[in-house]
Amino acid sequence: MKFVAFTIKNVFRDRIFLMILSFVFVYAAIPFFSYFSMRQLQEISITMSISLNSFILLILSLFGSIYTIWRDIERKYTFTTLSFPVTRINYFIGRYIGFVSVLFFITVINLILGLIAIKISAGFYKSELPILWSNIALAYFFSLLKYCIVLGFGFLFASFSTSFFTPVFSTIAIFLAGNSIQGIYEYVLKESENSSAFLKWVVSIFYYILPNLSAFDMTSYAAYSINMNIKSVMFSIIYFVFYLSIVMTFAVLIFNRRDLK
Amino acid sequence: MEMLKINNLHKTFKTKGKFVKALDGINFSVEKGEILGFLGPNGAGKSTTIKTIMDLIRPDSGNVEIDDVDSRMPQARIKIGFMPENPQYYDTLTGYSLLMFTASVFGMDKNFAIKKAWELLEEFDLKEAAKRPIRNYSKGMIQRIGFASAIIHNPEILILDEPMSGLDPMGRVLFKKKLKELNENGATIFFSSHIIPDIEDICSRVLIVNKGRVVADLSREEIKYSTTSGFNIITKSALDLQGVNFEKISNDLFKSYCKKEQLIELLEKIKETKIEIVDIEPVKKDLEDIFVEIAGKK
Repeated sequence: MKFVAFTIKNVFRDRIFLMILSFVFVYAAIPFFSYFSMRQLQEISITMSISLNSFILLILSLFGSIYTIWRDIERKYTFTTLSFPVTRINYFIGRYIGFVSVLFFITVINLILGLIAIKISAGFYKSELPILWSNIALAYFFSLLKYCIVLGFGFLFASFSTSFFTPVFSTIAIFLAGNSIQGIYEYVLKESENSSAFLKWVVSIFYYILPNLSAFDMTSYAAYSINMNIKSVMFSIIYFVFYLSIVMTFAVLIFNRRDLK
Repeated sequence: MEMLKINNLHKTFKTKGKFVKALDGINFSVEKGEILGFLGPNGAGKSTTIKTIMDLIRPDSGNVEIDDVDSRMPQARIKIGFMPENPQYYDTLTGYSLLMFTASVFGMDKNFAIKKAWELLEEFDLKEAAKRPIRNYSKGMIQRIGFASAIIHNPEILILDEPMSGLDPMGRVLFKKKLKELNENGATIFFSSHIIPDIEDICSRVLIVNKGRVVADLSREEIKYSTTSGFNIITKSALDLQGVNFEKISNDLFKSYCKKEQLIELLEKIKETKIEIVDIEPVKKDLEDIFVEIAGKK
């Protein structure tokens, strides 16, 4: 718990974090930009709000992966923190939960600002669709889950990396691959008739190894007020718990064996 | 009673495709109430040993016991105060918040911790800088706040890696005084250094380490003897003695160097002439020479 509180306190004192946080002011521009969509102000404002939240959380996740573990090792802060009577697991998980708490806090702020922006935009032109506020809140929640996994990968790469580039670029690669793997899988295995057996096998392997981040994209449910299937919601949550547990277990095991020279 | 037991540590690092043996079966123990100096040249294995004690580096074989608890267990570190070489602290922390964070991790009562933190800040002349971010501290200030952080919880064992490097003379005096005071209050102290006078001044025992092994285990008197190559004798006038050269160092002061084996003989000669001796100062050997000598004996 000490490292959770410590991480939260220190993140909020960091200048880079405050710069990233300043992106929340873009919410003020959402009603203006959604006005250009003619009759879909409500739908566009919902999509833009969720996308802006997603963008801020992505930048924060990348920041978190280098700000915590990687920087602690690189700047030799771990010499002090790990000389305390705590286990490495305690420290590692504490840093992770601390940063997830920051992501949660930012998501809540984004949600509040997003709801205000959507309400203003929807007031300009009455949509045929009702606004399902619960769907919007769930879309934000699932974005948070998605970036918890991205952050988990950042921690995993930082647990063994000595270079700045590995955690940053590997995490970006995982993010891009995780967002597109579902589409690639469906195309190669279900839609493309010309795909070779080998390609199908390779894509299947990656499909099961990489995180399927599109499972957490609920934007269309929120924008077009589609009722969510409780089963698929539960499946996504179980998938999140299972996948994150595996990533963090690997990260902790690697970090636990690492020599801090 | 052994507070710290290092049992046959081996550690090999792989660096750029090459294997480098950092620890080669190092063995020693630190008795309760001792101030043990850990002396060795760069690359001798001092920092690796200390990091292994602190569980920052995992040995290939061997183990460390801190008051009979394996050092890999976090409870072993409850009794320890540690300051690494060139300590680095979170730059968003202030000196005061670093001390309070350390105190909270060690489970100290908050009110007591606040009192203790201000006492230490006062003692280490950091009171005015207490609320400034550590990133704005000078090197000496970082050493002092690091030391304060290492002792805020009254540790039974203090482990310090090159604690006096980068300190000015006043800072060194302050550190030595504080180390002696902590030792008098019951703390066991283990610290590394490559500066002989620092070790001589305060240590009750000295281990000399080289190539990942302990090459000598010396008492304070032994280390004083083995690190002294000879003496400079300062007199009020020059003597005309065979084989002894006196050099004029000021209007009425003359200096002569003699090897330590020749000291008594020279003193007797000076005594016969009844010339006043102003000072006798030991001349220290280079650390490298000591290692060559000890390695030669081994």
